[in-house]
Amino acid sequence: MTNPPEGTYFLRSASGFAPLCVDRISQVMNGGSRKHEDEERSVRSHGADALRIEARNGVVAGFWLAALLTATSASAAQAPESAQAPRTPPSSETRADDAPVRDAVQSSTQQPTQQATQQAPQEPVESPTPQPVDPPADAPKQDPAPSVPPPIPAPIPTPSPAPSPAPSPAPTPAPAEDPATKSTAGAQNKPENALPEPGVPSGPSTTPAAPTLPAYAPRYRGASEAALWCDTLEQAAPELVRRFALATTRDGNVTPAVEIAVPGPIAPERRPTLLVIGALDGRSLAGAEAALGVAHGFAQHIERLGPGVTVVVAPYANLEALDTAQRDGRSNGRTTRPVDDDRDGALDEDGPDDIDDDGMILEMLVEAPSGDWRLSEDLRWAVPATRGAPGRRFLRVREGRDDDGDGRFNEDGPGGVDLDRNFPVGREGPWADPSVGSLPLCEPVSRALAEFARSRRCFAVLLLQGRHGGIATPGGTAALEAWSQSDRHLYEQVAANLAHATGRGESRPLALREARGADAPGAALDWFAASCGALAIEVAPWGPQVDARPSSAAQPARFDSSGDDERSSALAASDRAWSRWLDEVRSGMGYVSWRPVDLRSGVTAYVGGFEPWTIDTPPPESLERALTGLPEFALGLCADAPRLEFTGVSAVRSAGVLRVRASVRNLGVLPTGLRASSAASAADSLRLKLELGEGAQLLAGAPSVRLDPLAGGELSRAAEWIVLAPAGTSLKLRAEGGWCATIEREVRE
Amino acid sequence: MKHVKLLQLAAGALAVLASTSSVAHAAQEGRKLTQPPDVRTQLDMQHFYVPRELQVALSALETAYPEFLRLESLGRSGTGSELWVMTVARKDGRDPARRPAALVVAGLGGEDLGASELALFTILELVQNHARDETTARVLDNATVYVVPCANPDLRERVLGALERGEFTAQQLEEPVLLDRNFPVRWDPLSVPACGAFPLARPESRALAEFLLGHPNIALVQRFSSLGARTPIDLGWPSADVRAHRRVAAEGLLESVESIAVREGALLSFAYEQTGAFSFSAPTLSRVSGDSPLPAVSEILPLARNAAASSLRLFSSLPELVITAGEPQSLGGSTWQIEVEVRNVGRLPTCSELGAARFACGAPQLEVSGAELAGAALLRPSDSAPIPATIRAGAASLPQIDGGAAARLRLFVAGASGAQLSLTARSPRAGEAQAQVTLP
Repeated sequence: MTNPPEGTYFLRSASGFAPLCVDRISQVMNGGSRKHEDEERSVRSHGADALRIEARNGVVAGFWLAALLTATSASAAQAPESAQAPRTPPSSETRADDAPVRDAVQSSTQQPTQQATQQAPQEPVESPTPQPVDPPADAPKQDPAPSVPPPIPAPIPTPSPAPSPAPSPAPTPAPAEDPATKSTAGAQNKPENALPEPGVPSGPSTTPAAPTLPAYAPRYRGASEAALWCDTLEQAAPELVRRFALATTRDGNVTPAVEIAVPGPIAPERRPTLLVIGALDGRSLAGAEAALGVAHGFAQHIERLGPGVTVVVAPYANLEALDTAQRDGRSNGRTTRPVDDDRDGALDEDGPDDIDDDGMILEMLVEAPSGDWRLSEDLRWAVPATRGAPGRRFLRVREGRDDDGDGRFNEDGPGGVDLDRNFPVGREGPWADPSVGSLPLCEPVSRALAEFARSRRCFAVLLLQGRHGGIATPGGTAALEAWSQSDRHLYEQVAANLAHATGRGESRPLALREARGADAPGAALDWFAASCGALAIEVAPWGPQVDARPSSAAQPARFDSSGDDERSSALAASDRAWSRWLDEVRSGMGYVSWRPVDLRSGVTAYVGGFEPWTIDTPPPESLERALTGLPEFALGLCADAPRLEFTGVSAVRSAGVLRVRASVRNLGVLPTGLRASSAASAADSLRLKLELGEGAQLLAGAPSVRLDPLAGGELSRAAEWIVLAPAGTSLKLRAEGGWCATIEREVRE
Repeated sequence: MKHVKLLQLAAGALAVLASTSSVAHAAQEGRKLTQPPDVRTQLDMQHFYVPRELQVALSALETAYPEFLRLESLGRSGTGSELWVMTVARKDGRDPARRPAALVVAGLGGEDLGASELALFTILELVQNHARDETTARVLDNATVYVVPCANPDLRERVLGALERGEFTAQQLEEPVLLDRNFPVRWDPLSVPACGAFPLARPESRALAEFLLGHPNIALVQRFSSLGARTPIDLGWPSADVRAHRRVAAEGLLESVESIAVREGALLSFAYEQTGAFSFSAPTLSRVSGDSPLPAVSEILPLARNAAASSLRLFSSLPELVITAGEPQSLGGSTWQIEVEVRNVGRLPTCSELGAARFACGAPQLEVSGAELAGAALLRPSDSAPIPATIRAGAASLPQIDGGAAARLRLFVAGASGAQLSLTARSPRAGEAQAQVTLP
């Protein structure tokens, strides 16, 4: 994007924009002058105090959020990456000492125990950090009281955007107890001969020292550079990071992905997995960059991951569309496979054009009595026209001519299949819209993502995309929105965590159709939830409230129509929010007022609308703000992952038969699965199994007992079996399914 | 058990009746009653074929009737078995993919496990009777029949093996992903068990779906079902399609799609609702015993005869275009007017209404070679004046033509006297028809 000379700013304010002043213009141009105050506000909003969140269901499910935030200023200009990104404002490096604070959060009066540590830019990025070590399986444990919820790990601060150019090797972190385990672990009945639990190393932690990583600073890299960056990440930490090809597109481009896992007794592919997908929608370039930041955050804070969870990040999931977005600042999100959108037998014959030669393809209002749009009183915005109301009506299309002379404008442009509508749940067929693809998952990337997700135990899927600035939850259609209601509380909890990690104002999670402003059938989010049974959430790095200033009242981009007065009620809430952002943050820049154009066909039309690098993709100077806190949020998801522990295990012989009882407890913060169940995901539900040894016979009880999802810290109901077994017979208990790693225990009378 | 035997007897009697009825009907349609069949190979209809044997039988058929048959693989099953499709059409130089086509799919799941032999016998009946039955000959000459005798070879191998060993239990019919719940239309993971993690998750369903989409000439899809009729459900389908389904199903003694395609994720739902192909299920199979998913061995042949007769009637209902042209009339200079009638002599329309609405099959077109097509107009009794027809890429667009109906067209062409014109009517699912006209 090329910023026009200053003199043009006043021209752009001609139609009622906020008054411009040189001060504000310069702020917008360099972004840096306001940064410090924003960061101060961010620090304040993060707060170092513990935050109590009460569960709404009456059961005490509150937990303590402890945040330790320390800020270390460093000049981004000193970092090589920042030097390559001149538009990125000087960034401050915010770091936290990762010393454990989990012990400290046992009490409501707990205060952060660590203070900010100033770190010189030349010092290594990583610092000695304690790592969780699960106690040996045979160690005596204390059964936690049910009323004491497990603590949520403290979010870590922003990954350092301005690392040192030549960091020295990080010291090996000292082992430390996992407070979460300590607080809740300890089934009193654990036998001495219990087997080590898969996913929980019985010996010393294998968590390696934090690696020396390539520097990372938020900026728009583009797909090929991102792929190289994935390679670099793997080369920097080969024992932790594995780069692999997720899919090969029809054009032969490889969609890269990285797997991040701490070496441990369980292979990474068998661990509960967090799948992070960047910009599947092909529009949210910031989502792709956010995914890279998340990958870096995990590699940098590997000790937070632990050996029980694997993270897989596909940063540029929609390569082809993101290439377009990178080039033009905007994309329609579709792949390059030609689609006959208007069913006229020709492919991609009438796409958008830059009619007014201003170097941008914007929107166009074509005057037509049958049009569904009219101009609002704020002449920048088009609003839906009321049926029968007087006034001029418009068709709203992309800027362009009627290239094929069929009387329609830009009805069959370049591409393609919309990957984020190519998933099967709630999908409409191609007859409704050819861009959904001829078959579900007919595109290599969507198919690969689905197969990958099914090949793993994905406890959470994080889609980084969108421009609503918050969390969207499954619900691309009304039916799916209703289906996901039973997990509302979980989503609210996650939304609160996001607000905490990013410093954004807390906002309620939106159903996907609400976040998008329209139904979104065939969305990936819905499939990950309904078919994989995963905690699937869409986090939008960008939105009007993300870059809001203290003086701004920018609201999350909710697409409701609640308004304060007649004038604003015609304007969608999202338009109002973006309008405020434009006026108060961008001083009116980024939006072109409607101006007449000559279509050479006697048709009156106006071109205008958002410029590229505004609402779909944040301006480069706002990117860092958009990405702030997202790695911490993702790290928190992994730290909160459910973990099972056997408890109440007993084997009592009576009258020649063995009566076995067992239950499991969820040591994590997240539940072991969604409450909303589906036929497809039911097979993966949490189960408690008893495996009989040689000579044993099950007399009563089901070999596999299905359990309801367990909330964080919750104890399952006890399963009971009666077994005819000779003395000394060994039985094996196995708990598997849901979002948890499988655990086993040998049982002897 | 007595009840079961009575049912068996009743089914056998019905099969005989149907067979007698179809023979009598066939005689009226021009079957040569004294002509022997063209027998070049023998198939044993006294046992069930394991997938390996089925492959041998199909290969033997292809070798014996090379002028009619082509055996190809659609892909592989989950365990690597080939999924075979037999293309049945007289090889006369015309591309089978440009003729109206029917797809027969058997052996999808436990409910039609015994249908593979019926599909095999249907192929045999087609090629053996080509010289003595006019209907068969017309199907072979003008249409293409694709037969997938065993869409789920893994299940068949497992169940037949267990039956042979006497170890069969109903649980062996269960599959983690049911093939006939794994197609995209109405696929519902929230409420349908065993529908798979996603549609077309199984290689078999994927291969079938891709085959269907890759063959836009397929106008109808048929299965052999063991399911009884269900209560018809109003799905809001176009009434013209419902009527066509009912009419053809009644003629072919078939269960129409109206009662069975509502199943979520079913092949027939996909065939009709996405590709617009008319979909039928022949209730040829019925469970004769609670102990076995297969009919008695002695019943295979009568069931297969009945199935082949039903299928033949269904194939003969495929849309087929015939074109007739009137005498050219001079409009002065080198401009001429020619009236043309394009008739669909099949009983099914050139495209289902739903298929047309969903852009699954294009409209018939009329091309002129030997002269320039300057314009065209549709002549409809309901209109007081001819209606100009759309001309795209040098061809006039016609409306979809119902079974047995015709579209009349007035062509305006520019050509020199004595020019030989070739008029070609073409429809993706009704094939091609040509007429020659000489300008006076």
